[in-house]
Amino acid sequence: MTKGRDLTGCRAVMAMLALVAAAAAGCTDSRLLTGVYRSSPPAPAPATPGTIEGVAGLEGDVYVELVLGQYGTDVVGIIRFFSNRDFTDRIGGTCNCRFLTEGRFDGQFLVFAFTNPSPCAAALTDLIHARLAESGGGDTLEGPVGKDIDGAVPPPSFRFERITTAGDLGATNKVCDETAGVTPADSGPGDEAPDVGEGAE
Amino acid sequence: MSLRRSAIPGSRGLRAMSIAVLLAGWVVPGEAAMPAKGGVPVPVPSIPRRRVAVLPGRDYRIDPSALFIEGEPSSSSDGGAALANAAAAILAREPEVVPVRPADLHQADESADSPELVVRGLLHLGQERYRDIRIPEAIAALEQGIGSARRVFLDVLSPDLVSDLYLYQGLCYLEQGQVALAHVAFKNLLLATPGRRFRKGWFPQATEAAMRTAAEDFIRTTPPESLLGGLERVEAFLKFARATAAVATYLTGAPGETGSVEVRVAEISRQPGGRLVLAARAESRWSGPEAAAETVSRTVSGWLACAVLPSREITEKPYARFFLDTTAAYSVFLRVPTRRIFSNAGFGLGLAWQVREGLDLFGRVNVLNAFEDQFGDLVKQFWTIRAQAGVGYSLRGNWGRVFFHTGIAFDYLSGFESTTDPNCKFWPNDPARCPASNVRRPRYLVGAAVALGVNVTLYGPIYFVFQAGVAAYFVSNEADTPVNFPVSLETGLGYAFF
Repeated sequence: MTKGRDLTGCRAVMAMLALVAAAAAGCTDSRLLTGVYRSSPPAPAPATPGTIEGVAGLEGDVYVELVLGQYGTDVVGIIRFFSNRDFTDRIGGTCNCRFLTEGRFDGQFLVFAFTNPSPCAAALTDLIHARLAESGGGDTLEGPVGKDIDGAVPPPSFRFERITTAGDLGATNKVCDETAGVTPADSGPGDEAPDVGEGAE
Repeated sequence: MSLRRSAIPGSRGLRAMSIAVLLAGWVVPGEAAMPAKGGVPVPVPSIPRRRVAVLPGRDYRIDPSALFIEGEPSSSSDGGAALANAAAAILAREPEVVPVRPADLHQADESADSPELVVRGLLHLGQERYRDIRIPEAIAALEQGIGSARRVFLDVLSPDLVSDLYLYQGLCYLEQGQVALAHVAFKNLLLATPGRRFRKGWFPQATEAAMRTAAEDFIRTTPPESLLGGLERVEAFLKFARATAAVATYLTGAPGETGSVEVRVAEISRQPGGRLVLAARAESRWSGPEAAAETVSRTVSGWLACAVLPSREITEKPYARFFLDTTAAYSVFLRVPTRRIFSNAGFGLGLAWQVREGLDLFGRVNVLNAFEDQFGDLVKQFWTIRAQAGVGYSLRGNWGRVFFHTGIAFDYLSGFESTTDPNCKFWPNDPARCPASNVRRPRYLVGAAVALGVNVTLYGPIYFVFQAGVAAYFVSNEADTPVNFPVSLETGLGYAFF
């Protein structure tokens, strides 16, 4: 009788601890990837045209910036494209940025897609995928970015390094006007300069 | 067949006899328990009774000139004893009082290792040493005997023995020429046995004179209140007698038919500390034994009318009426618009008013801060101010109380915003990325709450409190009450206002 009562008490305590543990799970790395990442070293030029599956304007050296927001397994954000390693010059003829879609992070790999930025058309359904492996406590993301990342010939790998953490992420980092950059950008990314290019789609 | 037939009636008869025996066994004790008519009185069921000590009545109207009498001294008629008898008679009429006479205590202590036997031995030793003119040794034995006698209250239980001790102590001191000490010893003798008389010519003239002087001084200087040598000793005697009150009766004043009747009733105070207090006091002029007994009777009856007897005793402890507690609180909503529950932690402040036994009114306020959920569906942390009020049902004991509270609950959610759309988390203010319908913003919730808790007394009015509760909300600024069914655990300390 006493033993049974003890067990009941134990179960109650265990249930309470489980409840607290479940609630405390919200304190784990649910925001690990939130921040700004830049490709480094510069994304290698495709070995052959079409490595990024014929994304015009992104076939040469391209510098990519990711602005990510992670919420548990959900990841949203923006991808931006630059032509110089200072991340100041936009690439003419392509969208300055795209919103990420279907972003997921399973604790090891970040998977997302974005609409092909070239040509910069809103109705385009041509998606480009990425599967980036996280390392260094979320400071580094590395993996292929392309139209067919699971193909026989995987697209070139990109390596991203974090330059801004979640705490420093500003509102202007999150601005994305999906318009084509017809001329080199006259300002760089970040809070100090607008992220959007000028011109029409 | 015939055998079987013959066996059946026998079996029935045996069964009938068994039943009869069983019935008889059930009935007979009942009859035995009935009161016997005209026989031995049936013992009354024991009820709680208060023990009241009746100290020996003393007649202190000593005539020094009559201290020594011709012929063999006899036990003079003691008017004080009659007063004590009158007091005991009045007390005996009260069913909830047991009058305790010295004789009762004396009889209760007649074992072989009784202190009285030791004292008596010391008296005999002192007498022998006195007769052998070994005075210092006699004094030592007598003083040891007096000390022992006082410790076990033989001056009350066996005054003649103590009187002899003082007598021989006084005689020894006189032999030594210590007249002052002898004087004190003789006064103590009279205090123990004021009615004692001595054969004239038995003692030397000087001794008689000393004893007579002591008697004269006793009348003038010895206050009756010093019957047992002070209140502390009366307290000790009550403890010894397992009594809570004492009645003392005595006659004072000039010898003969004049003087005063005095009655004192002292009892242990029921206040914390339990010191002895004088509960009743009466004095009247001596106008005969009947009138003296009437004075005693009236005084004791008057005290009894107001005395705390077991049936009048307030047995219920005065429980606290207000309970104030401060707690650490933890709460989770079982229904949330987020994909996982999130924690809320804060503090609580509660006040319960015990309106009457088993029923209380309570009010409670909690301030809780929400913590981020696993998926970050809470756009930001928010505060919950929860107020509850209602009635409670409680069981109380010396250890604390258990309560069940029911009432209304009101939650104000300061800045609650949640969404499962990650776009709304990243671009909360961008309607293009985050439609307003994707964010839930309940502001207030109204419903009913129940809680079960326990208070465990730690020290005095301070108690440990633990309570668990749940609420259900029916009204909200949002139609479907997206946040609901909070379960709360609280633990802390409280203070009971007695």
